[in-house]
Amino acid sequence: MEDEVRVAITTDADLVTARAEGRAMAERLGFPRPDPTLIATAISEVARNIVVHVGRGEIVLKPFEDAGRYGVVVIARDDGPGIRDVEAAVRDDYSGKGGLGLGLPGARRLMDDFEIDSSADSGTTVTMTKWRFRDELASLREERRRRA
Amino acid sequence: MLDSARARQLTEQLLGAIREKRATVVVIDITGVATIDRTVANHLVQTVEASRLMGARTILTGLSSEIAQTLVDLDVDLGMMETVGDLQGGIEEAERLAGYRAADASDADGDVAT
Amino acid sequence: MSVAILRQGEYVIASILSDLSDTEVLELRHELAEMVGRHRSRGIVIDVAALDVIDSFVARALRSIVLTARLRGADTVIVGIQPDVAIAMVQFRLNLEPLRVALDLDEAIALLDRLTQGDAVDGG
Repeated sequence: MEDEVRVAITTDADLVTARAEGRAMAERLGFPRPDPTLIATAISEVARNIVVHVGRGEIVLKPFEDAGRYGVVVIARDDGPGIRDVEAAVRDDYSGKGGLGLGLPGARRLMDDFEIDSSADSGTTVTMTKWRFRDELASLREERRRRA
Repeated sequence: MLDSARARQLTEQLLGAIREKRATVVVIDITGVATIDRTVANHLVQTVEASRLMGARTILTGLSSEIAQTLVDLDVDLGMMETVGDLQGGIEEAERLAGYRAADASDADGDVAT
Repeated sequence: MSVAILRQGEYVIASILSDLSDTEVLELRHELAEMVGRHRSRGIVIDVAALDVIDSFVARALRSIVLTARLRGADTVIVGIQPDVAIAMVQFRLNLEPLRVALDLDEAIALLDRLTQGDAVDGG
């Protein structure tokens, strides 16, 4: 079971690192294509928000595995002023132009689970997860369950 | 039955083939596939859009009326998808598109959004 | 050196060689605008095959290159979007107007030839 990876985010060069680390972890865990690219892209969006709007923060990549599933949790954390209108920031108006320019609706679409916690006191924490079943049959059952 | 794991494989093969074979036009024939659910239909549409970003056009052929209805219900931008009734027609359309340089170039201006 | 830029007649061909930082993306945008202005180029081809992520920032920068080039009389064609990247861009629903794409460099040049000829016919 591998360890978590942390990437300090202060400059745009750190985005390159965060993307590469995210991709590498996804590939090590066995995510099939195109998931490593989807994960790296989502990381790029949330990490950039840190550089552009706050100046300092971190990305934490936490792999997880249990009996039937494997996945990665991506946490993007900063101590900045917070997003005033979180609802507008994540609202997906499907036009590609929404989200206050923070790329959060898009990142959410690339990942499976997405949570955001933001306030002036505690900064912003975005937690995104992508996961898969190891077993194809279990995937199909899950799909049917979600559709039901 | 086209499920989502197979749909993902289809996408990978299709897009990989576009790159490897330098294909500017691709025909996907789904004759014999009676129904697809919304997840797979969405996936198919995204594959067509992705192929467009790679500089290729994708033609879907052999759509059952039920699948055609699913696509309509999904509110898919049908202007962006090319569909032809049968495989033969699809191949003829593909040849026409691939030969565009010789003829009228008005379709082939590389736009990704219609 | 992260981007190789060369001129081929009236066209500028920019090949991105590795993942670019945001600063490098903006430098590329600046460089291309300069070259088009200096040489009155009619077309730009940007090869993005080495980019394994194209996110909203890169998409915006590409759009900006296209629009700026247009103002200076040049058309822009993007080539080499990788399959996984194309899927990510579609799923992300990036706004990709007014990007033009082509399969590869040959197709891009052929497209630019058609477009620039069209311009000549239209406007003189």
